[in-house]
Amino acid sequence: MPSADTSAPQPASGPVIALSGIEKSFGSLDVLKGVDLAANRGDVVAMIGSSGSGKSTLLRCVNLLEVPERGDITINGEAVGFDRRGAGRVPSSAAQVNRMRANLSMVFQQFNLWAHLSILENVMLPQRRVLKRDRAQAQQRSLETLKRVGIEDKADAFPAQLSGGQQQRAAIARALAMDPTALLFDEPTSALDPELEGEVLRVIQSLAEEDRTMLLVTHDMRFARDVADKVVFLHQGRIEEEGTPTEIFDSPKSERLQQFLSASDHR
Amino acid sequence: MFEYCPAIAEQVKLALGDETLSISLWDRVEWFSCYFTTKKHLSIFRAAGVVLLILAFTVPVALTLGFLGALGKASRWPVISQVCTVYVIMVRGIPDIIFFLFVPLTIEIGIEYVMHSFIYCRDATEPFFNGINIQPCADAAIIPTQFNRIVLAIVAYGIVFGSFAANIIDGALKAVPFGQRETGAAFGLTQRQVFLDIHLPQMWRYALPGFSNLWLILIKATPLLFLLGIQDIIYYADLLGKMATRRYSTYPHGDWKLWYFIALGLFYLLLTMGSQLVFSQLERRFNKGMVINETSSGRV
Repeated sequence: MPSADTSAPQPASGPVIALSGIEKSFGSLDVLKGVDLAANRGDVVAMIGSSGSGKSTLLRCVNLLEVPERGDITINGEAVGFDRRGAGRVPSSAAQVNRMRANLSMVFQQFNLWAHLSILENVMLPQRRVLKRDRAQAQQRSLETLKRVGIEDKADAFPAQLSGGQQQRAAIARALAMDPTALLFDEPTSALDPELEGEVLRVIQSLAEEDRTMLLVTHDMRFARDVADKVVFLHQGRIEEEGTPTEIFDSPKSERLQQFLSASDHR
Repeated sequence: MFEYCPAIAEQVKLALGDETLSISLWDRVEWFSCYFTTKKHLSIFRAAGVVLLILAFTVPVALTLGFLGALGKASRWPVISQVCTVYVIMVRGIPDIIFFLFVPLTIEIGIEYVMHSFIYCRDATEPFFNGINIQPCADAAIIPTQFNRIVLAIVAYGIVFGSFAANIIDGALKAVPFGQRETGAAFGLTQRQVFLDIHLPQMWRYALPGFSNLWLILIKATPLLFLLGIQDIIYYADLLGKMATRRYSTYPHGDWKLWYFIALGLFYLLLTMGSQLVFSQLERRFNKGMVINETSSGRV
């Protein structure tokens, strides 16, 4: 019986997510050039930076949607194993990757709800297949999380029948229903109209206030300042500066961060 | 067929030669009921059944080969992917008619070769391939019965249309947006689960228009059955439509070929129109939730 808002038991100490020396390139383009990142239990880490700075790629390295050529990834104290393959490398165990992914639910920029399934079926599918919950259990948990994000009345609708904001909230419900150790948000409001952004941001903010571990890539500086415990500024594949929201937004040290902040609208 | 048939046939025959004798409408009806149930006519109905039977069995064979071809093309193993690629290119690039002659022949020779060399006639003195002649011993030779021919027809159609199906499936699998699959993987679904729960169910929507075309082409390719020595509906229509003289026929009539071919056309038209109905139902089912070409007016 999955209780409403608790996560699986974890090692008492140590970061939930720890990345070190991450290097990733696409062809001749080096996107990440040695990045370290750690998130402790309950941390909300916001990653900011201009387009092409590598922030989304870094997030996608966490759940191995991108496989970095170099660097270590440790989730809940368990290091991901890699095998060399040509110039790059691949995870040695698909089972290990899937086990880790089950604990790291992702919310995508484009929502990526499965178009052929109803909202309820969308939320249920990964619970059924990955967590092996039975139908009744999965359905109950799905309805709970759909209620949590305020769209329980849309359970039987198809994704295409919902507004962007509702779709993204459904995607958040799908991620929550997995009762993951950490939630990964990849620019969750970038595809939304300004008036729809608010409803999604409010949901994410309420999650942040529950001491959930969250990694968040965002363009919305005001939002990053409001929800994050730690802000990481990436520039050209490196972490240029990191610190508390106050440190980053009120007294940026590096020139690049100063430029970036003055160029972005929300301050 | 019916008890009254010899009498009515005789009566009409007499009337044809004697203008003073009249035939009532009811007599006409009885005559046609006899005419359409002669042995030869039952054969044409059976032939129509054979066409439907071959169609029904070709679909699963072609779909299976199509899936194997499409999935094989993307295989990690070079041997498999190359074999499947060659299959798709070769079968698509060679005219159907050649294939309908070639495939059954090779299968027949292949089976005969296996039976000749490994099962029967181990003590045969004559080699199987004797110069350019192929000589299976008596036990190994396949007797070309109607049943054997039908099986070979199904295999031949299956192979040819399987290669077209492979292309359709290949394209449809690629048409499913990558994000849909990636999201499955991101939640920890295995490759197999992603395929069965996300990729495959979404593929049909993209494959259906292609399958619908292919099915119609398959239906319209059935007249090629005569190439395999199957006495099909067209053979019988031609035979039955010919003028039948009073002298030699129990049921004499003029040249009715036109009517027979119209009936044949209607048979095919009915078959294809019925299929369209089924396909539009399927399309509605697989379109559920998918947003493709769905605007309120349907206009640009």
